[in-house]
Amino acid sequence: MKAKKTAAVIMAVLIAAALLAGAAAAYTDQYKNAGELYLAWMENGGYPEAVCGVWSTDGSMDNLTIGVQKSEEGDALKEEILDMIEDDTSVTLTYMAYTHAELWAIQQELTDRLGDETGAFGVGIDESENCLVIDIDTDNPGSEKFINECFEEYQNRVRFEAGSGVILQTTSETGIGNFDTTGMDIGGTKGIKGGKAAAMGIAALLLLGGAAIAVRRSGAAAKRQLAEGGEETVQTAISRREAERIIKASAEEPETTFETISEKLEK
Amino acid sequence: MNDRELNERFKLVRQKDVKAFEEVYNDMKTPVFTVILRIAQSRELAEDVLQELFVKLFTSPPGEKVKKPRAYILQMAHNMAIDAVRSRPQHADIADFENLSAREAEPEAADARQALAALPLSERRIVAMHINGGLKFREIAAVTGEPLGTVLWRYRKALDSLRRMLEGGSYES
Repeated sequence: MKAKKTAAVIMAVLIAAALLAGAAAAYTDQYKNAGELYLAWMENGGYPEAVCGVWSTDGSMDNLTIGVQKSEEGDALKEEILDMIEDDTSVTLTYMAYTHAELWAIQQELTDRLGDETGAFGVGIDESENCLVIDIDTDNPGSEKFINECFEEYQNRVRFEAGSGVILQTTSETGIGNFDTTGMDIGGTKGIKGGKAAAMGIAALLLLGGAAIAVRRSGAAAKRQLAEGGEETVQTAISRREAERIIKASAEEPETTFETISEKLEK
Repeated sequence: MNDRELNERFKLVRQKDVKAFEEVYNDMKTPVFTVILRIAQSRELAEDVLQELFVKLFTSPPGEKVKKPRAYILQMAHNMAIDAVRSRPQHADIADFENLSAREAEPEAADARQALAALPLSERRIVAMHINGGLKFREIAAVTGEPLGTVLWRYRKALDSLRRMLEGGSYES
């Protein structure tokens, strides 16, 4: 009887080991550095669920900071990221509060409220600050009510920008004031503390160089900072994936048949 | 067809196997034509370029050293479309909206084509090569000769514009 139990335990252990080995074998993606991993995420539908944001601190793809949620999933992802990247000096991992997916979902909600009624005219995700940035015209009579409603509902998930340099933020005490989302380092070797001034959106930074803010305008509506200092207002309500699906479905069939090609080849 | 399967066909094409070439054509004609059309913005010109491209592919198929024939073909498509637009500038950026719309049974597709047509060529070609051609951003960077970061930025900017236009807005540069 005891021998049977022992055999059963050994069998269970072997099965578990085999399953674990299988899982490990299935997860074989390896990337030279954080830039390659970021690229892979972009090419495969976006960030994993526990990612809060990714940004460059020096203008290159060689040194990236990845914000992960402070949760079990975030911890697991942190380990996965470090396992997947050969050069772990290329990445700094930082804990943050809100996932990119959560901020993106809020962005969709806020998009519906942009307009003359609220005075809000743009919203985008600031990945390095782990919040949504809402551009607002404070001269609009509806803006104060909208700001208060947003702070009440979303707390420090939102930040308002009114004009150039005027920033309205929440505090833990009153709901209005400054807050700090700077994460603490939890891995990697760069030791970057998520400095606001230095942190910038990767792609925008690579091209624009001097852009002032790391706002990832991937959501519904945005006022984008242009290289020459101007702004462009973007308003959309369909998701990126939906847009990609529509574009893919609009593929064109040629009228040229293979017979046409064959005839040309025979000439 | 993946790259391995395409390479198997091209091995036969190099021996002038028409059947294998027909399989390549049937598999690649839609993504290739879509990329060409998005660049050329003229069906007539795109049909000409497509025919010229496949004639070239049969007479001079990619050699054994070409490991990614899909990217190779789409690079040819991109380059030939750009050359065609340059040599026949009257076709450049002329969106044949009326003809396109008349053919559309699906209004969503018509909207997508109009939105794409409103994008600048520098963005449109990246969108077409990634979404319709299935190329990775790194491969697109090699095709266009632009830095990877630029390609990513252009793609994101284009997608933002497309999303807004598909909602009924207009393109804003």
